[in-house]
Amino acid sequence: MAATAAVNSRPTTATVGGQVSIPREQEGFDMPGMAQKMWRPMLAMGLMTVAAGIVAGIVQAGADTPLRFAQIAAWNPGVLFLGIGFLLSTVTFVLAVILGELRDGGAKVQAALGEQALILRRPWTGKAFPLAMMMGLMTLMATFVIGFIEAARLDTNPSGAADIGAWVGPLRFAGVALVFTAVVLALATILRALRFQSDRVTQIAEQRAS
Amino acid sequence: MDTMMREATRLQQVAFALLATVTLGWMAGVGLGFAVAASDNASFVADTSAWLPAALQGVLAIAIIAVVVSLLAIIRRIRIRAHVLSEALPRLLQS
Repeated sequence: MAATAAVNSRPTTATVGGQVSIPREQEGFDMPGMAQKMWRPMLAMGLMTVAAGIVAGIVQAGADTPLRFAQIAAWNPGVLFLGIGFLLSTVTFVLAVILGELRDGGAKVQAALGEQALILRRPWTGKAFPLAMMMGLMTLMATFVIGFIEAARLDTNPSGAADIGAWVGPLRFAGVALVFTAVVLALATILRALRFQSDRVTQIAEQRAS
Repeated sequence: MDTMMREATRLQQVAFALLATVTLGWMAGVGLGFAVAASDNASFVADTSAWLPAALQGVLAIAIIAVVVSLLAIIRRIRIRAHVLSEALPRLLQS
């Protein structure tokens, strides 16, 4: 597994075990660095939103009129789903932090061996998971707002509210599914990073042996 | 290194404690669901049906937090692994 370097206008790339790698210092946007700053606020927002949804459920149980009961039933699922979305986004961010730890740990080991610190060039899964997470969160925020619109129409236009209720429920699940997609894509990126690390250690050992 | 190992162990223990809470939570939720189905008390049925799904979403939230805590323990273990490998591998390759 000899390293083949190709110099052009883009960062210098090398092939390790069939995977394209770049020198550590040539990496562009530092997604793990941003995730390290973002996961705590996201966790706090998720906890607060879910707690608000639970309190709203208790308030709904004690509602004095059927209309008030139905109105809370219209918007509260949006609150709870948004909270779950924030918490799943926290999982995605922490997975991005794991990717950063694998990258930095691998670079540290290579440097200790006196070798050039190569890292895996970000695969398509690594580019797609932040986008999937953002799309999922935006969908959940939209359904959160739509829930309040539905609740407002219950008083004046009940059939319109029923129409909204028919499609907004599945849309909430679609939002959560997108955030889960982000989690799976991040895990797939971790798998590739682990494979790259074992291939790189094997490559160094073979170079030393020959 | 010792601090990181202690942190990783503590995070694993917290994750297991959260899992125990989740297990108790969904068991209570399922039990209340059956109680609602069997009850003739209309106000109990209406009230419980209002707050139970929200409370179960809270249980789901605790389960996700358990995942986050487990991942944080994994981060500590990855750091320990990188440190150990950067110390041991050069010596192994020299010998």
